[in-house]
Amino acid sequence: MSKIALGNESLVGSLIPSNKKSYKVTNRIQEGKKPLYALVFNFIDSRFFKVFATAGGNRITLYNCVEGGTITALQSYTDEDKEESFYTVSWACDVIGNPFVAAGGVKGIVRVIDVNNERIHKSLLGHGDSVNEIRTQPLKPQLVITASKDESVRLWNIETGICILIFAGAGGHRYEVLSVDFHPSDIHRVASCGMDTTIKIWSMKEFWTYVEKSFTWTDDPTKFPTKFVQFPVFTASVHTNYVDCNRWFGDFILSKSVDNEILLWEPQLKENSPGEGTADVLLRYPVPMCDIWFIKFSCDIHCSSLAIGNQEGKIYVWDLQSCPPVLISKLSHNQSKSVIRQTAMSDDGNIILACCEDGTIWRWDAPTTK
Amino acid sequence: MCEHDCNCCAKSSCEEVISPEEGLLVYCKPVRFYSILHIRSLTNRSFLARNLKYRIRAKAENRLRTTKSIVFKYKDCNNAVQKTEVRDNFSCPFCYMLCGSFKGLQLHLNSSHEFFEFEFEISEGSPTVNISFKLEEEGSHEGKFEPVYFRMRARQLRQKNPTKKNAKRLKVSFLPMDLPSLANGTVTELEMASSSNPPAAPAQSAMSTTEAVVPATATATKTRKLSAERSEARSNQLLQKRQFYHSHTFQPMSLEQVMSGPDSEDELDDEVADFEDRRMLDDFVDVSKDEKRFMHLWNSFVRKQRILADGHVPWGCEAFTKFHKEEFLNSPALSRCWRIFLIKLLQLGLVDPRTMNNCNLMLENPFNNSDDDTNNNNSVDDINKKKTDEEDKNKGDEQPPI
Repeated sequence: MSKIALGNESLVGSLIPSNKKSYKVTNRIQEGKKPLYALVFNFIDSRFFKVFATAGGNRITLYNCVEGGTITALQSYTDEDKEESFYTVSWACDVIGNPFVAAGGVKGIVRVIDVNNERIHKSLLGHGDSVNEIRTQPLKPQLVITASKDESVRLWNIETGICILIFAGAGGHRYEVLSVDFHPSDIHRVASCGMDTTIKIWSMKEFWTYVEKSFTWTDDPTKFPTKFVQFPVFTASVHTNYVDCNRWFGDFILSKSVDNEILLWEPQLKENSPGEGTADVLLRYPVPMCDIWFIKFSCDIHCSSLAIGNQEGKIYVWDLQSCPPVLISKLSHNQSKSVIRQTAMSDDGNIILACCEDGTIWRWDAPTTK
Repeated sequence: MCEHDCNCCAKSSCEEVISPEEGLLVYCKPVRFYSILHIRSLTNRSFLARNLKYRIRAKAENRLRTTKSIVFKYKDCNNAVQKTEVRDNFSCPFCYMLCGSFKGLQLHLNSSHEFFEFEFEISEGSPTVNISFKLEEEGSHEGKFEPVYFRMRARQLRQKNPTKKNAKRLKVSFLPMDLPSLANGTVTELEMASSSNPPAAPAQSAMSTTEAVVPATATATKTRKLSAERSEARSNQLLQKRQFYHSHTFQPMSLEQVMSGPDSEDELDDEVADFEDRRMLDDFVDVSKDEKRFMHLWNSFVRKQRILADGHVPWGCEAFTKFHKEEFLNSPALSRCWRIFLIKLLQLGLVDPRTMNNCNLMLENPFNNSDDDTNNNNSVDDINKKKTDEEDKNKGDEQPPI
């Protein structure tokens, strides 16, 4: 268990927007009546940076953001199970580079869609309860990690449909896992957080041979020697309530609990004693009216800014490059009243999308100055 | 027969010694009766037929000729078969005791499971045991060790299937099924049913003469096999119908995995356990590298060989020394850790000085032993074998100086 270092006061950002970049609503789509829980740009493939996917109800929809504010629908998938409710979606691809979409929800089944061939590539079975988040390893986009209500995190190879590792057990989460993220450069490292208020950093260095094995496995995927990773290398208690979103920011971690703020903190691991260390909270980004769980933030591809919606339909855009934190902009619209479950920032940060509980997608554009 | 002839060669020399002893043995306990017979068989050929060994061999031959599985039919109060079970090796369906022969099973069932009525049949060739509830007149068992209230309950519950499980938990599971009307009616019914069953006597006689059994067995085994196959097919069908999930990974299992012999579900993942052990040891700050290495060797050895009880430790120490001999010889620091640990075990009273001495001898005179190939791939059995070999050898080595 980590200790919070004493004497290091974290800096709190001011809620007065600097307006160094301003966004305007350019589009609004009513996708359906069902709440939308996730939307995400395709950061895996530079050809499709402006393509995004949404998840809500038993439907996954793919759209394209065209210059000038237009959104065009590309494809839509409906799960045959009407009871399915997708909570999360993530882009991935096979080794050749064909785009895939992985989605999961209340049924605990991860559907991997082969976008080019418009069909299900694999259905990943194994989670015992809802899948709360799926993330793709940017360095190896065939690897996908899932966070589930069954208190486990699983690493999958979506191309071969293999469950490679299960991060759970003696040192694992003690309640629903709500969010998980791959380290941007250290391919072995993963951070997960959940309702047990902790954030755990896992290492799969010792298990990497199994990850490699999953690429060449030709036998039945269910016969793969799935390994359990029982002990994280670090457990941080920087929050006192549900932690529903965490993202790596270099070697630092951005995490959000349900107490109206996002924290930027540094995990300080002790060299020779895994599991121990301290968490040094550096910066705090306040987000008013954001105290319900399952609200997720997003960053652009360079992690220079961050966008998060709140429960009254407003979006806060924070600059991640400045210290103390600077609020770039506060986006509000008189018709946007519904809870924003997730935002998506485009690669350059000029487009912000928001998906809402009432089934709407909002598009905000920053006018390009030149 | 040859054996007996050979034994007879020795008779002249033994005779004089035996005769007074033999006289005494007549007054000994009945258990000794067989030894008397045996001694007599040596001197008196007419006793050969009664020789126990001879009998046992004949019985074993008999048994080989007949198949070993027996059909148990559980009948309810209406004499209808509710459940059929096939068991091998004359084992008791209730307590799994191996009875050796059909007759032994008969004796065991009648003496040990007296709440049931048993009818033994081999008249049609198949050794069949019909099991039903014993419903006797109330009070007939008074004075016996079974309390009366139990009889009454047993009678009330007769309409439940007298299956194996029920039999074991008779008192508990049958209690709520108390319907007085049924209880009244069934006693007579069952008595009738049991009286209509063929008596057990013919079965016994048939068993003792092999000639009677052999012609019948062909058809009998066929029917028995059929019923056994049918029940197996049914359970297979159930296995095929359902989707099974692995209890560790919760992944769907293929049919092949479900049907395959090896069970992958209760295996300890040694690789991961080793890794976790090493990581746990890495946490220690005040422990040297060699000490950590030794702790890891010991921990994984103890885990893999399942050294769980205090009594396992002496064996474990010797096997451990043998298993890692090379490493100990190559690293004095490591063997120093091992010796300190042995002293600790000695202080705790887990090993005796002899074990300690054995371990140290192994490390001190490594080249005295011809079998130096203590690579880590040796199985426990190998170690065990070597262990006994070595003990013998050590004894030999030790004797000359003494």
